[in-house]
Amino acid sequence: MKCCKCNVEMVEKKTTFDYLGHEASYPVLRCPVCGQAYVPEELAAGKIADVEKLLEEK
Amino acid sequence: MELAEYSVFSDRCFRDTPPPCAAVCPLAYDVREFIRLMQKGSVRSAYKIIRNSLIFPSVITKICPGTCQNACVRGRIGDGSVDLRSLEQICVDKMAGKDPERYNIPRKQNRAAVIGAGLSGLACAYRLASFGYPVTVYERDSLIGGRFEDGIDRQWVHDEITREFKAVKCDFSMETEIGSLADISAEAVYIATGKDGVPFRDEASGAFSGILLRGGALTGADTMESVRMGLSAAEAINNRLLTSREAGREELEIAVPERSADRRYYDLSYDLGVPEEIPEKGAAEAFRCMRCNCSACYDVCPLMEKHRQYPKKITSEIIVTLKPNKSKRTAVRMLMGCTECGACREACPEKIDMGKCLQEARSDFYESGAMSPAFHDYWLQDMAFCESEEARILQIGDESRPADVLFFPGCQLSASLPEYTAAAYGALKKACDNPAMLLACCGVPAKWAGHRQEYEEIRKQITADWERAGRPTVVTACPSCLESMKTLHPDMKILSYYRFMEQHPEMSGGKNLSGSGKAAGSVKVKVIDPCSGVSEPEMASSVRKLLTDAGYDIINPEPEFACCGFGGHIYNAVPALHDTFAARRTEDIEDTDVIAAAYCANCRDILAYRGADARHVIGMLLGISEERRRPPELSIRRENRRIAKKDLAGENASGSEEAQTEKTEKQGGMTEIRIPEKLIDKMDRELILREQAEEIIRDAEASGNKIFDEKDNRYIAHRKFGTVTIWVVYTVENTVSAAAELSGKADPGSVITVENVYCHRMEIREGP
Ligand code: SF4
Ligand code: SF4
Ligand code: SF4
Ligand SMILES: [Zn+2]
Repeated sequence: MKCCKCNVEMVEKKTTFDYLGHEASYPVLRCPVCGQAYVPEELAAGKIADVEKLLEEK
Repeated sequence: MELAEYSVFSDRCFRDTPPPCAAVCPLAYDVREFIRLMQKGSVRSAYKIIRNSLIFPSVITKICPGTCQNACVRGRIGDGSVDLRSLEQICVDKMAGKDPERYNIPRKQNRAAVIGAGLSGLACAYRLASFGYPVTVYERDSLIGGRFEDGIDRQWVHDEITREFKAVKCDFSMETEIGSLADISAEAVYIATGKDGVPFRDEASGAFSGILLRGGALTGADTMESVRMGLSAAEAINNRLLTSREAGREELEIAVPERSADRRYYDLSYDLGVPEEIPEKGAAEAFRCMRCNCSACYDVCPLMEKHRQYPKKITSEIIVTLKPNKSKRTAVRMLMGCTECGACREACPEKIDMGKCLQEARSDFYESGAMSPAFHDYWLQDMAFCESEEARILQIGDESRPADVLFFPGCQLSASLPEYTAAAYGALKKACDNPAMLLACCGVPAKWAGHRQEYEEIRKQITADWERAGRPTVVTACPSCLESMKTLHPDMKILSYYRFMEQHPEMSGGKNLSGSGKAAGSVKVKVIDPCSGVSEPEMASSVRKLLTDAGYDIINPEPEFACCGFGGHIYNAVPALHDTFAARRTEDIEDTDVIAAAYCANCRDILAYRGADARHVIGMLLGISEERRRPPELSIRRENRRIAKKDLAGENASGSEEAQTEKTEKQGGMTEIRIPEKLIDKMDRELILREQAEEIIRDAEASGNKIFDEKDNRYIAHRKFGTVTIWVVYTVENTVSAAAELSGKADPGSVITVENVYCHRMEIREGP
């Protein structure tokens, strides 16, 4: 995975996500220069979706 | 709304109140639970239930006259009352001769006395002893149990009850005649000296200074009522002794309530079926009992079924959920899952309206700020689009005088079947003098989202337009608009298109084509009555009349209002529940030749998605319906509305093809972006618009802000739109020039194919 803007290889980094005033973090690939993130579908439809559901009932 | 007011909604619900059998039984036990256990074959557990209420089950089942049987619902239906006594007897026989389990209760200080060891006194003594009071029973005879007229063996009764008393600590002073209450040293006394017994009424009040009650045959009660009174006396004594009281004599009365069955139970509908094979340990008679209870709303509501909850529980959960600063809001999916279909209200004998209740709760939830905006964002944006310059228009035939009829097609008809709007208006014009049309949204998406204020804004806007048009009669083609506008605009005269058409035969002009080419008359049609039509039964009958006149063969002459799942816009919050609603609605017409004739555009679309030959009644009546027409994809829906406006303003020709050409033009010269049809389906399900995917790609290509996946040779880009972050995975082909290769940007002229699109609601904290 490469960030096309910075032309560098992306590296895994713990990244914070915000939703409804709560936060959660997951390791995702990030561009070490500009910070662009990559969230694969497995993560979006899996863990992220599960946590979204929980937070929606908090 | 005040939190406490929510419980008012379910106040009149009588679910789980005693069924008729239990209501008339003086010892009212939990018949439903008893039967449940008997059906399972758990006789011991069932015995515990009756022992708790009947106190001395072996004796009571012998002497009970079986009042319950006169009240039994099954009996009233004419199928023979359930014989509860025989079931009780099974329990009794199973436990015959066994000593009861002992109660382990801390002993209390206050002493109690009972005069008379008939069933009433014994019941009182037993209950008090089980509460932990030291009790003494005084009996002048040598046997306990009292006398019975019908020759029941007194020794047997004595032995049975004596055995039951092994469970508690209780003293019996037999062959003891009490001459005066002064002989008794206790804080409470129950006098149950039987028919013609001594009432101890004339004594000086100083003789006894405690709590005193009388009951049983002494006060005229029959045997069963006497037992009940004994139990009530024990409870009254316990309550009184638990609260502080001043010393001195205090006489309490035992209230004997009127016992009658709740009539409402007789009007419910029941399944009289009994299983063909009775499970091994189950008692056959137990399966004849229907465990009568009301579940009328639950039976029609997929939401209640999913959450396994009835109105009383729902209202209490709502109250908990709406409390400020709650950390777990258990009713959220319930609030968000109600389609407001009204089916519960229609089914409920008490007309309890859980849809209204849940709607109020949803609005309060929204106003509290705790509701995820993602739930309704899509439709609110859609509504905003309808209300924007691009789509909204009021057009009056002759502006110089008041219009007589204002056509309000509703936002979904023009989105789904754009040429129907024009055709419907064309037909309508034949029946009016100065017609007008308002392309707008009725505001129901705001209501469904819980946005009370926005709903009110739209109401004002519509009123203003209606005033401008000269307060004409409003004719709407959408049942949801009809329902919502009728409540919002009480001073407007509003009709459904179908009612109006029925009143104006000149509109159909003798056309009665089936559209499918088959000879009308042989074409079977199932009318799909939308949930929103339930308050407007005339509309359902007009639709049937018009279709029949057009030669269709209607297979469901009686209206069957139900929700297709669109109502309440529940889809984003509870997609699975939405599908349950939709599946139920489509059940019997998927993949058949029967035409599903819907007069709500949303029902039509949802049924068509699921494989039914669903057609809009307007198209059928005007002879323009097509077989199995697919609903348009989301972005075309918006485009269709633009076209409808242009059409009306006389700027354009109609048709959704137009939408396509226009789009291609807009992309002008830019790289072609291909989205496979399967992916469009997925995007529609996720409520992602084609334009959004295209915009992400164009931005990414222009800015270079994208990721390259070397392994699969594809690009990935994302962007946040309102409440969601959308991701697009795509490939670029035919990058011809070296310059393009160097820059990594797609050449104009190259082909971009979208491979995947997905989204999430959480926001990424990006940046270096
Ligand atoms: S059917 Fe069962 S629950 Fe209903 S009234 Fe008869 S005994 Fe009671
Ligand atoms: S229909 Fe539902 S709300 Fe109405 S009484 Fe029965 S259980 Fe209660
Ligand atoms: S309005 Fe419809 S979805 Fe809502 S609770 Fe009643 S039956 Fe269920
Ligand atoms: Zn970068």
